[in-house]
Formats: sequence, structure tokens, C-alpha cells
Amino acid sequence: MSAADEQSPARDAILEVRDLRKTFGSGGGVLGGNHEQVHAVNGVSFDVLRGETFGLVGESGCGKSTTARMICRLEEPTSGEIRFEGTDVAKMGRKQLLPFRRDVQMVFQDPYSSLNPRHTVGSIIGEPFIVHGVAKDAKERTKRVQDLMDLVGLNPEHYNRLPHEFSGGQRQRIGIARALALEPKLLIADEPVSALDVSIQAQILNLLRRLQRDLGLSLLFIAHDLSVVRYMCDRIAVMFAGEIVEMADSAQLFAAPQHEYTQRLLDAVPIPEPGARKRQREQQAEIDGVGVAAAEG
Amino acid sequence: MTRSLASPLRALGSPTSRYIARRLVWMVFLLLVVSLVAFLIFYALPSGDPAAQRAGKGADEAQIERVRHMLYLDRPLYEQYFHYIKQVVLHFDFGFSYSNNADVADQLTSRLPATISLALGAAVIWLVVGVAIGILSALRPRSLFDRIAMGGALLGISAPVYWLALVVLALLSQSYGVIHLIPNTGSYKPLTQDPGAWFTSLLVPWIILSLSFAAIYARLMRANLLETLDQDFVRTAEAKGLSRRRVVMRHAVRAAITPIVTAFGLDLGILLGGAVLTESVFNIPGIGRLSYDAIQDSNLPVIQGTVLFAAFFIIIANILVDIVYAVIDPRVRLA
Repeated sequence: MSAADEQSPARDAILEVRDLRKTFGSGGGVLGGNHEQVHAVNGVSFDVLRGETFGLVGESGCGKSTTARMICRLEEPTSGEIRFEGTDVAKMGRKQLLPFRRDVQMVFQDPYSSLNPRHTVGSIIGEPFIVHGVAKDAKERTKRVQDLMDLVGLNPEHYNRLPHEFSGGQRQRIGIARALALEPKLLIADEPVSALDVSIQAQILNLLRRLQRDLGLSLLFIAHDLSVVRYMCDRIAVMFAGEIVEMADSAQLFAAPQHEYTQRLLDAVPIPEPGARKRQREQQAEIDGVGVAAAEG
Repeated sequence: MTRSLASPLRALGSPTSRYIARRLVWMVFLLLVVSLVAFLIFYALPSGDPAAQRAGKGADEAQIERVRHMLYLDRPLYEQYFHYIKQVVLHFDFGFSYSNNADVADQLTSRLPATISLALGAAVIWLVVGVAIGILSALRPRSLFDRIAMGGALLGISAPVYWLALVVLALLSQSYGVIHLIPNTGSYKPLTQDPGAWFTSLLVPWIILSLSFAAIYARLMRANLLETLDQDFVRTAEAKGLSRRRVVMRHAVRAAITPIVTAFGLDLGILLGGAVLTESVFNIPGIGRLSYDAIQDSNLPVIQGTVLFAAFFIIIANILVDIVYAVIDPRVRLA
């Protein structure tokens, strides 16, 4: 399905992804034979509009993270096109790449391994300032680091501490502060809460929502958890085995899932209400009576 | 033991100096254990009669008995050991060599500069070469450079020092080599006497001694860096827009180098206790050569002395490794 056709041209896309592909080769055996190739991302197209939260959802291993990494140019696409504010990301040279790194930032899945354990929080959040030539003197850097820590709900006094002195949720706040340091236009959150306790997840999600609203960020939100995506996103694309199988406005997707895989995903979401599950199944059976029977058979 | 030590140590101030003080106390304890084990192996187990050896060939029963009495060998073992330790601790007296009656402590200290020269020179070479090759290989895995470097490393690890040294000598030595290029064995001169000769005589031993270490370090560095480069925080650093150089040096190498530090401390400590093979082949008058000769002659006091020296260096190296650890990894607290 072609995602581009569904966009009305009047809407302003900050990120355009067209027919993106990534193939991992096994490299073959010792003698070079037996080349097995995995199509991790197999022709993905979507747009992220300015100021919206766009969700990419799917089970683990479906190519979400690879897609995110390619958008950040942490990984090279095999083919396809990624345009950020109209410029082809793959064709950026060193000169253009630096401002691009400012504009597009990523919050990583694992708040434990994604922070360098040997650097203090201050240097983790403040390092981008040095590289990008913002806030050149140390005093101003500290001030900005502390402002950012305050913004994400961390105690600014703790800027001299090391990552292992923080809890998982606090670490993810550090990761978010780090990502926000250079005031990016597009924030990519790759499963930002899946490594956290459920009780902490909501705090981080609310933080991201608040920041998105207050700072006017465009957010590409990646998750495997449908209820999380529903809470966060304006529009959602469902990925399965390297392809986008369905893309719709959040409300629409949950009300009337079109693709069979989306329906199965929705089915798997537990509903915290007695009897609701049963009602849902009955409704579902009514909607696509034959389809379910076929799927089960 | 720790409890009773804790209170006087507290007066020493910073946690780091307290830590070092505690480690030094431990060192003394460990050296005592080492000396006891060495003592038991050499004196209590049947390895020939020390008194007969000391008395020399053709000595009669009465002479041997006299020597036995002089060397405290007719006392119970614990008394012998106590006497030995007392002499070492109070007078830095390791006894006298059985073969030439020389003072063991003097022998050890006079041979130390040669061993330190050899070990430190080789260490500089293998550290620089090994780490550099390891980093370059890890940055371009499976490249031509990587394949050649790792193939070479395999050769370096497989070639024994004594074999390699003999081949090089046979090919290049001044008087009997195919090309007369490098000084003969036994041409070592102390640095203070003749710096030029010191350097030229040690150059080949340095290279040969460092080769297998460089190979091991290159492989270790490569493997560690490859693993680190694949970690999330390196990806984070890259996403920040840092230059490749900064990502590699400040984030990845700093994390990947810790096992190198461990290995380096131990290797250097062991070599300072005497590079037996290299010193023997090139006839460098160091601790290694001394211990080799001592073992050949069952020269027990000298063996004891070299064992204690070696243990001392290894323990000191270990303490230094721990301190360096705390410097490169701020999570490590010395306390």
C-alpha cells in the first residue's frame, strides 16, 4: 500500500520516508556460499507531520527499531529515501549532517545501556553543547544542563552523579534531557518505556506528551504496546514483518481496524474491565464472522 | 584482621590513601605466605641436601655437618623459617648464594636494572603496537588490514620467545649471523654506563619479548572494542553528532580498555620478576637469568630471593592496576 497517496499535500511533513528497505546478509559460510538474507525493513513509506505524534507499532523484530535507526542515520538503508525537511538524509555530507543531528534526536529503548556508565549525567547531557558549539563556557553549560534536568523532572543538583546512581525511570529522563539538549525538531522515541516498570511508564509517557506539547516537537513514537501508542499518538502505522500493513488516525484504527494483523494485535490487549473482553469478541465476530473462522481454521 | 586495622588506618585521611595502606598491609601478609610456600617446597621436600651442596664437592661428613649447623639446617623447620624471615625483614638479608657465597640481596638489586630496562622497554612497545592495531582492526573488521593484523597476531602468539630469539640471532647476529646486524648476546651495558650500547643491545630483546604480548593485546583490544562499539551508549554518542574520532576515543575505547589495563599490570609485574626466557637467550644479566642459573644449581637462597622479588612486583602491579581502574572508570571506588 502506498502511504504517500493518503497524505493530502496541504499538510506539512517534517519527515518523509519512501520505500525504505534494509536487508541484512548473513555473509555466507566460511566458503562464501549459502547467502541468506533477512529483509528487516521491506519497503516502508510514511510521513511524520510537523507537531504531530506519529506511532509506529508492531511486535519485536518487525523492523521498527531498524527503521528508526535509519532515519537517524545510525544505519545505512539498503534502498529507499528519507527526507527531512525536504533534504535527502542519505545524501547529507559531513557539513549537513551536523545540523541534522541537532534537529533529529532519539530516545533509546534501554535507559541502562544507552547511557555511558563512565560519564557523569552532566557530561552526558552537556556533551552535545560542546560538539555543536552551543554554550561554550563551562558555567553556561552547567546552567543549561541543570535547566534541562529540571525540565524533565530530575534534581538539578545531581548533575555530577553517574548513571548507575539513578533508577530506570530517572535514567530515561536523563536520556530524554539529553535528546532535548539541542532543541531538536523531530524526536524519535524507540520503545522509550518498554524497559521500565509499569508504574514508571505512565510518568515517562506524560513527560513526553507534555514536552511534545510545550516544545512543539514532532514525535515519532515507536512501541509494541498498543495501549501506550493509543495514549500517545495522533496517527499510527502498524508494522508486520518489515512492512506497514495499516496506517490510520489513532481513533479510527482502534475503532475499525482494517488489517487482520491489527485486529489480532488489538485482540491481545488486555482490557481492565470485567466482561469487556467478551463483549469485544462478540463484536469482532459480528464484524468479520467468516474471517475469524478462517484464521482459526 | 580488617577490624583491628580499621581504626589506625582511619587516621590516614582520604579513602584512597586508606585503601592503599590497607592493600600494602595485605601485601606483607601475602609475601609471608609466598615465602612460606617457597620455603617449604625447597627445604622440606626432598630436593637434595642443602648442606651437602653448600659444602661443595669432596667435602667429608664432618664438614657437611659443620655447614649444616652454620646454616641452621639442623634446627626444626619452623625455627629455620623464622630465622630466614627475621633476617629478611630486619636486615634485608636473603642469605648467601650456595654457588659463589655472594650476598643474595646484593645480587638481586644489582640485577634489577637490567630486568627493569628489558621489561619496561618491551611493555611500551607492546602496549602501543598492540592497542593501536587492536583499535584499527576493530574499526574495520574483516578488512584487509584486519585480516593481515589478526593473521600476524596468531603467528606472534604461536611463536615461542626462545625459538624466535634463536632464529633472529642465527640470522642477524654480529659474529655468526647471515647478516651481521645486531649485537651478540651478552652485550648488555647498564644505561648509566653507556646509553647507546644499552639501547642497541636491548632493542632486539625488546621487540622479541613484546611480540607475543602485542599480539595478545591486539586481539583483546579488538574483541573488546568490537563489543563496545555495538553498545547502545556508543549509538547515543553518535546520535549526539559527535565526530567519529570522539565517539571512538572518548566513549568506546575508554570502556573497552579496562581488560587491557588488568592484563598489562599483571604481565608487567610478572616480567619485572624476571623475563626468564628472553634474559637467558640473550644473556642479559637480570633477575630472570639469575633465577634460571639458581634453579640449575639448586641454589636455594637465590631461588627464594627471586621468588620473593617476583611476588613483590606482581602484588605491587596489582595494586597499581586497581588504582588505575578507579581513574578510568569512575564507578569504581577505592574503599
